[in-house]
Amino acid sequence: MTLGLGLGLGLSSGTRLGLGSTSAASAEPNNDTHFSFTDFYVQQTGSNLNAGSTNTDAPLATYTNSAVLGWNSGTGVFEVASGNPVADGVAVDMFASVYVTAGATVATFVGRITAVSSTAVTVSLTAVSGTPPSTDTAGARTMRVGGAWAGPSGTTTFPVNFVAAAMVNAAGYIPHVNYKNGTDYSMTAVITRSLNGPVIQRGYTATPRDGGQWRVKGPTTGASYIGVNVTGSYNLFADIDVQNNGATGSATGFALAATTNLVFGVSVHEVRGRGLELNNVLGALVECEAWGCNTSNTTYSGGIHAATAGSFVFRCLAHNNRSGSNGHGITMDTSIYWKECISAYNTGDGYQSNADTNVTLSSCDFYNNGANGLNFTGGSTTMLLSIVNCNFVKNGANGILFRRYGEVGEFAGNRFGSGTMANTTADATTFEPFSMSATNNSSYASDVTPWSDPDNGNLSITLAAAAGAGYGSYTAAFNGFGTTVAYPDVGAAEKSHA
Amino acid sequence: MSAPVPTFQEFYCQTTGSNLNAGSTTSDTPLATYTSDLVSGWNATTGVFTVAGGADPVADGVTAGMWASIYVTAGATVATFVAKIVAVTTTTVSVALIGQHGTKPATDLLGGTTMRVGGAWDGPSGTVGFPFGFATCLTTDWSAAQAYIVGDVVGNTGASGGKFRCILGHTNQAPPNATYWVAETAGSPRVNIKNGVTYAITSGMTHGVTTPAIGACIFSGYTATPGDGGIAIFDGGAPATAYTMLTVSVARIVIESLQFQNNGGGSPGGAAGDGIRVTAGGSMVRKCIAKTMRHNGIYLGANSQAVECEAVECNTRNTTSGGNFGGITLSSGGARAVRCISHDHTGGVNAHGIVVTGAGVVDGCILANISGDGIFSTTSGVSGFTSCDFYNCRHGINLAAGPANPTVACIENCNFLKGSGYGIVWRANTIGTLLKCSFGRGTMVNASGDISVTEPCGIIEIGTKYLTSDTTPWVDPTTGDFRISSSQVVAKGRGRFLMTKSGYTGTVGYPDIGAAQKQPS
Repeated sequence: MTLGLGLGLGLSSGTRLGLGSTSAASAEPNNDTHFSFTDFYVQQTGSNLNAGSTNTDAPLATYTNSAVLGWNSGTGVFEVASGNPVADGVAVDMFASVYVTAGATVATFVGRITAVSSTAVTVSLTAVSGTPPSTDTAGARTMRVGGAWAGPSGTTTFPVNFVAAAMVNAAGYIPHVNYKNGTDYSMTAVITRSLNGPVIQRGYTATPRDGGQWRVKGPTTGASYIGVNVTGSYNLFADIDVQNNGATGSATGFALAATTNLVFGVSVHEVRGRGLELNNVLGALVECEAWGCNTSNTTYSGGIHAATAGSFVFRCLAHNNRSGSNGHGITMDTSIYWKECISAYNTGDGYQSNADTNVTLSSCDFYNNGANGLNFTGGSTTMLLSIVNCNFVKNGANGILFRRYGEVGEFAGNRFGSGTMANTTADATTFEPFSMSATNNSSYASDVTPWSDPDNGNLSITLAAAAGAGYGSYTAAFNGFGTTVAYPDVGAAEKSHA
Repeated sequence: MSAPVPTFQEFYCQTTGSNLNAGSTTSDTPLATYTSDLVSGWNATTGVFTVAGGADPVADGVTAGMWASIYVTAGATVATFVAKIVAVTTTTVSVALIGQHGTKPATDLLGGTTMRVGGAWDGPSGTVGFPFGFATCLTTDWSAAQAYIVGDVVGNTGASGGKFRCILGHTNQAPPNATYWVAETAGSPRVNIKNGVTYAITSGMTHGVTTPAIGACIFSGYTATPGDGGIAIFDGGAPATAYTMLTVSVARIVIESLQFQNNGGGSPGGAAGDGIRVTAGGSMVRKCIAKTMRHNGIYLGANSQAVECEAVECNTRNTTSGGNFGGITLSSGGARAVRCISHDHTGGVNAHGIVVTGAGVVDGCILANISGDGIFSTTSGVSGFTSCDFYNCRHGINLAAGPANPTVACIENCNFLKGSGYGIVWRANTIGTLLKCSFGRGTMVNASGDISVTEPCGIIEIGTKYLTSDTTPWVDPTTGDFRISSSQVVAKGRGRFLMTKSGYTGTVGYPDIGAAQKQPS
């Protein structure tokens, strides 16, 4: 289906104006102007035997199959033993869970309802998650219409790896699983998502897509395990907080181990290994946070890790990873685009890379890391590197320890601290061939930072010397375009110039 | 403390020079020209060139550190070996042999070899692409089997890294052994191509000189001083069948401040007809302009960068035969376009601003006055489009029906105005974000609608903004001035940072929506 909204001057019916005219400090809700979803709900007071398609704890209706036609897995027709689905309000485009009654703990099959009569409910065999139970005329099948799932708990990971991309409503809207927050989802086993999407799994507080995070909380004892392990592709995980994953070992908090996934608004903290990891797969991280990670102090680890060419990371924050010399903020490899990221208060390097080919760091901040702001280790070749409009302040070694094998690229609009805010060893240590084009780089006045209150986690840019002082040149010779020039701030969180 | 400053070993092209020169000075003529003598002549093993005819290099002012071109006299048209001078006597000039430009000519005792000291190259012309295809990174990777003489330059791929110059001849003494090596402080070679006169070429230039692991080479236009940003122009003429004007097929090459214009017509193959075509990873096209190209203006076929470039009037053929074409094409995972302006591609609906076929990022770019799409993407990977402006295109961003697999697309802080189609076309099976983007209204509306969605499509949409009727966010887009000026978009962009740690007050940014951030008042 194709929607063309906002044609001409007016807005189409059902279109709402955007909520946001300012950037709030906290998550902003979606305005859902242009996109629709097939919503499913998880709340700990629900039941994993429900269909998940409403936000009530109890299903709209529960039926046992009849002993006549019963449940037919070839046609999707479920004849009820008693009751009247029409009278109960069951309708087409609702979703129903059909399962083997005996011993059931979680839903095994949920399908879209395609027909309803006074004696039967028919479900789709294609717009489904799971596998339909076998045909039964012995009254051994149960159907639940609607109702929220209870979600993961202990060793139960349902429904993270149950919801399939095919489980869409009649309009074909993408499945969107809403995990209600408020109480931690306490786990003792890894939550794995091996199915391919597209599927969205996202936290909420009161209204789907309101930005509320759901928390996956692991143990603080025992051998560590991966908190959330995404081994399928084309999944979007959003608004999740992952905390704790054991006391020994070095397992990752949130791992992406398959290509082409997106993680948005996910925080990971107090885990044994890397916090958030693009584990040698293509993916994107947006507005994520990792702190208190790598408590195992494992080498080449820290808050956020990305290591496949083409991946990008926007507005992510790695801080207070303070496990020791390996408490790095960011680690990476290959060709990654970092924009508006902040790495601060880590005991290791703010950013440690290995064997890169093509890296861009645009408008990033590196503050008060125990070792280097940036540390380009590893590799054995000259690399392509662009560092533009970044701050390097009060790092314990170099602001930037460049690669021993040299660089080409762009080094422009960067600033370094001085006085008490100086980087201890040097602003930068270079090795030939250091062949970057260098423009508009300098140091701040002594003892100042460009931020509001970095020691309390506020790295919003306030200093006049950083505001509008970044590099923003364009090259254009034709049709008047040469007049365009930008005045970005130096650093991640732009000062308001309204 | 201070910010790092690069150093370069400068070479020069100017149309009044000679391609037989060493290229190392700005004078048209070399400081000195010598013929090898008939006794000691040119020794390709020791690098010693003994001059004939009573010439005196010392008296001529030749000194160590200068550069010499040494070539077989007969039939020479362009330099084949340019090396740094390491010693000078009244009868000889000695040069380094390893880590120099080109390939040394064979030993000669017949007076058949010429040396030129200094002098500028005249650069590409007609079918000659020189010094593309000649200039090297001025280093080679150290080898245990290689015999080194004084002045040779190597890159140390060992753990300690660095670039080193030989100070005592030897074999198999790995750097940084201080008895034999000293850190080479001279930077990478930068070939400065003087502007003012157009370099007219009639066939494609290729730079495919094998690059060592450690080393880089920069080709840069200039006006008066190296690195001053002056743009040198290459004109490809009007052949019946277009050709790619410059192909860079090796890594760690920077093409900077060069303009490529006109490359012909007809129906070239898919890999032909571009302005600049980069096919190796780790290279950069910076501050370059591609104008009136049959296919792409700038093509990145590997994980390289196009930064601060302009592409205008590309894909004049308006074809999809052999690929999708536009001002800039990102055709590899990791390729990216930053602060580029791609505009006035008017060949038809297939003349796009930026084409994305691999995972990539487009950041801070301006796409305007385009008969095709601002960004036309068929990638099945992940793509990020951030802080860009789309004005007067067909679709602003067209995530066109491409591969069957889903894709990830994140679009944030972008303006979409006055498209003849949609602001954004989302193809089925896309997941992504749409954060703080604005859409025009009134005369600035996108004619078909703000957004087209083919389900299923899972996008996190936050803060979509609709501009006041008939207004734009910019100073004057009709004259190409895309500086952000409207309070409707200033500080209205997405700048959220997630911070959950207890006791932290949090960070928030207020970027403008669009590419060219407004200057603080």
